[in-house]
Amino acid sequence: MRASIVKVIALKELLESLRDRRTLFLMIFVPILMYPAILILVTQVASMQDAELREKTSKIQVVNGEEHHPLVEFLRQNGELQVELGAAAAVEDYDAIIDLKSWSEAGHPSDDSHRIIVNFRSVEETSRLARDRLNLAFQTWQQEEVARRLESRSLPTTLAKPLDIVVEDASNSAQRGGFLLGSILPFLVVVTVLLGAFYPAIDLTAGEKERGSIQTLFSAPISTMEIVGGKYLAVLTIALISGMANLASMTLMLGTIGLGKLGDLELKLTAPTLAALFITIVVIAFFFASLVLAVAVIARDFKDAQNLLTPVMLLCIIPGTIAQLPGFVLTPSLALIPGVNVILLMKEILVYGVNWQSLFLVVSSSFVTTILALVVASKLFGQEEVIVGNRGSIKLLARPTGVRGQKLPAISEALAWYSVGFILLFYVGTWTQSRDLLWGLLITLWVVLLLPTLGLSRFLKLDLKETFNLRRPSLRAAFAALLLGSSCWILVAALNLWLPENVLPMPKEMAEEMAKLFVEPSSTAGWAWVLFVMAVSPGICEEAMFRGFVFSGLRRGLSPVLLVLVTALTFGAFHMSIYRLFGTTMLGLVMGLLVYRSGSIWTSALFHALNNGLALLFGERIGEQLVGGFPIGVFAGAFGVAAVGFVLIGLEKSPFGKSKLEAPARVLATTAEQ
Amino acid sequence: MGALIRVENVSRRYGEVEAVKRLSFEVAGGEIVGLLGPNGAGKTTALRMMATLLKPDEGRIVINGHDTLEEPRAVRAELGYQTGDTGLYGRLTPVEFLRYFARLNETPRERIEERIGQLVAEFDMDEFVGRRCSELSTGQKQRVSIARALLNDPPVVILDEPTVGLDIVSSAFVLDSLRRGRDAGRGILFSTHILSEVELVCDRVVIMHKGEHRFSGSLEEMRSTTGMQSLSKAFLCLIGELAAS
Repeated sequence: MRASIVKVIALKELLESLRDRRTLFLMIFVPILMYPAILILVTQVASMQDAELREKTSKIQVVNGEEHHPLVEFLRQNGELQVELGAAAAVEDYDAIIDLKSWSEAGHPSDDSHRIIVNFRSVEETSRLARDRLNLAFQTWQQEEVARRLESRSLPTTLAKPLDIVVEDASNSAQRGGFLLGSILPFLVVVTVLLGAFYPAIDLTAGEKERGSIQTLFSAPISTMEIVGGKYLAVLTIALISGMANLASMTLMLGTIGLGKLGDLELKLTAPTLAALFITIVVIAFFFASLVLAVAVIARDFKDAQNLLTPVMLLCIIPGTIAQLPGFVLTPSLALIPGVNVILLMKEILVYGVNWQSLFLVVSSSFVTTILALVVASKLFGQEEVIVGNRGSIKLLARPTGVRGQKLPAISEALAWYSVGFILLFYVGTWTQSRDLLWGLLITLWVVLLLPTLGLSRFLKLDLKETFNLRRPSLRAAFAALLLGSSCWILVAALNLWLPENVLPMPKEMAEEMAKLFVEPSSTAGWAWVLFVMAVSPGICEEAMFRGFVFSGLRRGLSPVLLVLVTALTFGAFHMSIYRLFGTTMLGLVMGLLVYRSGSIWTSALFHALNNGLALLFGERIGEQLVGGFPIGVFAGAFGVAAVGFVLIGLEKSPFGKSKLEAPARVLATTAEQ
Repeated sequence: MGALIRVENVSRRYGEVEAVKRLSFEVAGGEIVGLLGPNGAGKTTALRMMATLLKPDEGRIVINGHDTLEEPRAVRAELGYQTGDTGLYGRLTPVEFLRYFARLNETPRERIEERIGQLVAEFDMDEFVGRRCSELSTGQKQRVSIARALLNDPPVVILDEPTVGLDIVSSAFVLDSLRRGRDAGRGILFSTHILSEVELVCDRVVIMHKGEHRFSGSLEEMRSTTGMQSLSKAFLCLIGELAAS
């Protein structure tokens, strides 16, 4: 995939979109003017109506009462009530009717409880207000009457008030304001971003088919992924502009126009909150743009696309609405549900501020679902049916990409499998490991990761030796892996201890949970079992997936530096913790370098197993030394050994060459990459 | 000159329907070949397979030495393909449209404006070059579309009914551009229904009917094979609608 071509396509699509009035309307007018205008209008009208309602007196009829009845006299003193005596009238003629029949018949014995019947109509605003006013008046009368009765018996007033309740809200005004904003803003942003992406996604895909230009585009020497990438960037940009315009408009409205206060609530978007909201808008735009594009590509024409996308919009909005309900908070399981996760994250940010682990989970899970949607869009858009202007079919996704002599997975296949693996790891892996760490880990590695990776490779008829880099390493490369595997874990352990202390403090509860996970075995057999599960198995299974399938797929479109970097990042993100991201990515970089230079997965497998094994055996000891003071000798020794390892692996001549794997290898030019 | 388009035993099905059956022919550089056939003959399917938009179920197509299945991107780089539609972007001007495709073809930046200038002059587009494509007449759109197909100076040009819906003047202009392409050494294949155009520009014809190849040869061979002087009658005779004399 060539970035320059993606850019050319994206710029052209943006130019065309900006020349279209409908897109401009949805991108600029709706988020900047319409939503805030609606919000202001609704707030103003509601507040005017409320004021108008409260200015009115409530018309109350008292039946079976008399002019000097104590309650009637009391109610007459209330300026908000207009009390009339009379026979029972139609309830529609008054805001409420009070029947004092029972009281009047009983006379006025001083210590009795008197029954009052209040009739009102709950469907009418004025009648409900009358009920509330009467309730307040009755409560006051009752309190005064209780006090009078107690006083007449020389009893203290506290006798009838065993509890003196004082309720104080621990949330400050800004948090309560955030809670209110959290119930409006996320939904509004979701709708704005969706609307922003909706029209351009249709115009750029189904519209292209309808106008008959799609075949012209596909006859250019470019690949489907480049086309989809360019179109996606254009849709994403427009959706982002819509979301940002909405956020800017809201900020302006709350900050400048004087709507930042609502009663005692402070509706304020602080700089860190704005930054976090900016990130969530980016995340939501990333996902929604890919989703609407993936659906729109299979549509026959504009109308067909609208029919297909309307249920998708509803599917996005309904969970969003549910997520807005009180009681729904961001949990790790919900953090993986696209759309819902971002709304819940926004709510959390607005009320409590930023939680980095939540942000990381939402961003990484949205990233993998975005990749998945884009891969699907790319496969669908490359279908012959779509190119010749007919409707595409999701059934064709099951068609293997494999064309004549394909040896390695396509980039799209590598990314798609990574995304699916990420989701599987989260749900199946977390569940099995929560039941039993070691068995769960074993099942995750061998059954969730390795088996499907091998199965997929067989299904795609790939060359297993090429895909999994099953070459025998040179002696020098193997020695380099040995040196690096024995030393890097010390450097990473130091890093893992230093980072939480100085950059990103891990919440105490999380640190305690993690410490509880691993119980050190007491026997040699126990250690052997632990080492097999936590050192040997990752060295085989994770390496087969990352330095095998993913590495070989990405090798087809990325330069060596990007190849090693992206593989390491995918490996780091796969560990699903922002606190471990840096360390695992660093290890991923070393393992990527080993495989790139040696061409052999055995080097990274050796490194991985050694690294995990030594960290398990001696990690705690090193940790204690680090806490007690920096052990410069150990660190310098590890650094020296690692440096020799890097030099040795640097001397290896990579079998993959210096540039990304391009079409010259005829066998590799597949339709997946077209 | 060797064959720039080589179609070898190519078949393509749509479900139960066999749109193209074991089609074989060649087009050399410096010649214009007309692909003839009534509606539903399989011409468009055949052209789309040559342009890598569809894959053959059987057989192979080689464009200037590149197999359409194995090297689709290389084939597209060697090919100027114009679909049945003009395929323009209504909100772009012709210059913006041509510049876009020049960039997709990775034409060097300094060469793009020069090449567009050449094409604007060659296709007489000066008067409408700044207007949006949606505002152009059918003939003007067709000129822009053909100019786009020739943008990267391809050795092979494939056009699907390039004169459909054009008036006589515009048609003559298009045919003239095909002749210029032939003189420049390009191998040109175009499908058409209009036999008078074939007579004006084609060196050879390939006739298809119901997905099958019926005839390949020069116009003279077409007449001599059927014994008909009229091209229309010869055509009808070759597709089995008229008995040979």
